Amino acid sequence: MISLGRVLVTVSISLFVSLFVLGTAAVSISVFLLWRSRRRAETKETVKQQMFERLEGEDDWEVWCEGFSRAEKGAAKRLLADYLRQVKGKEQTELRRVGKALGIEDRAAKRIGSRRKYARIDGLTWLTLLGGHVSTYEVVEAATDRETRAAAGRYLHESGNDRTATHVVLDTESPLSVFGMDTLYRANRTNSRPIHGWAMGESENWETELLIQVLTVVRHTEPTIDERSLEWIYPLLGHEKSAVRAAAVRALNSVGWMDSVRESVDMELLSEDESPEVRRATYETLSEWGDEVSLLLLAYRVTVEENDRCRLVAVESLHEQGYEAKDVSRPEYHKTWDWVEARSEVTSS
Amino acid sequence: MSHILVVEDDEDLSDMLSYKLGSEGYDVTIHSDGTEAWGHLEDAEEPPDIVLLDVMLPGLDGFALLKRIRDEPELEETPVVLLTGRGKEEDVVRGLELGADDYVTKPFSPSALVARIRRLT
Repeated sequence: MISLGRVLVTVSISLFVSLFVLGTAAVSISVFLLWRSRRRAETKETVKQQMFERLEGEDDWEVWCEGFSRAEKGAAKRLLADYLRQVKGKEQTELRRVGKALGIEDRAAKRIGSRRKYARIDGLTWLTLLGGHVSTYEVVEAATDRETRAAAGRYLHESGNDRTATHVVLDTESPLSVFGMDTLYRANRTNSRPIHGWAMGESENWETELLIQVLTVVRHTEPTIDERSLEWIYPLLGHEKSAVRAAAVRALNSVGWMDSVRESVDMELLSEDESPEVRRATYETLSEWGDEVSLLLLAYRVTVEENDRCRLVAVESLHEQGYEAKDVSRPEYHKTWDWVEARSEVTSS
Repeated sequence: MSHILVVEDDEDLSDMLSYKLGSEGYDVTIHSDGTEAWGHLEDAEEPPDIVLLDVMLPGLDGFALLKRIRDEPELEETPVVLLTGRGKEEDVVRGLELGADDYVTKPFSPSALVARIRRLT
């Protein structure tokens, strides 16, 4: 019969040995990782300095890259990923040549045909950074979900194909990623025809969040001069969701000079919307329009507005235009005016 | 030799700028933190000939540091070039109103930046 004492001793020894082995393994791994991190840092610094020296002249990058170890290739690739996002001009051209010499562009072109999503994103990203050339068909084929559509759209935008970039990014009914929204903005910043053209045919199928995202992008792009292209926005001013109504009003910020907009949009009705968010958006838009009719409506709404934030937006706009408080028997009205005037004195002194 | 103070928290980018400016004959000092850069400016016997300043910095951000530079009599004439990823019109206007002599948005051409700096020094 085994005694309890012997069992306890055996268990203790086993535990001690296990802890010793685990502890040794943990320390060894830490030491290895630290060593590797230092080696990588040294390699990166060496590669970086050599890269700088060669950037000044038009070097034969193939010769430089030929003798690279795996670690040096990795370091060069990481540096390229950083620098190509920050520089342009002559240095960008040379760094792109480094990327090609390292074979990154060729690999990227193959990766966009991968079944693995993150391989396709990686491929599209590198092709964008290196200014690589692949067919639009291959790029569109690679765009199968939100993230790959955004990456494909960015490549197409950087290649000068904003119309297809917009279509690829918006080929969905669901919300965009932040990167997708940014890509959509860049592709339509100076010419918003692609986004309006696509929205005219597709916006009825979009989920609420996507509608708001697209309207937000429209608000910040160069206004279209084609009045018909705004027609998809007007029905959204009566949408059941207040966030959509507000985004739609703001999307019209920069087109108040168009007769068709004035005829199609009832700003008085919007300024009486039950939602403070919509009213605030309306006041902002009236302020952007800035004409006499808009400011008169704003000046009236300020006297009856119940919501403090909405009233503040309206008063700030009127104050900037040189308006003054009227003789109105509402304490909240005067409080808001007093606050805006006091703040204006402080910021101007 | 002209002395340039570079305040940029991206180490790789500041290394590139340092190399580029050094090869153009500038004596370069780098700080990666706005507060440290201000400490350097306060303690320096001579102000730099030009300051190249990122906007998004740890410590004092670029706009706050620029304001301090312009409020300091010994530094108010020192040329300052803002270098930033923030390219919105209001940021550019703010930078120029605070007294920046030039405003360069990323991505930028290092060669063109050097040409702009040469014009100011």
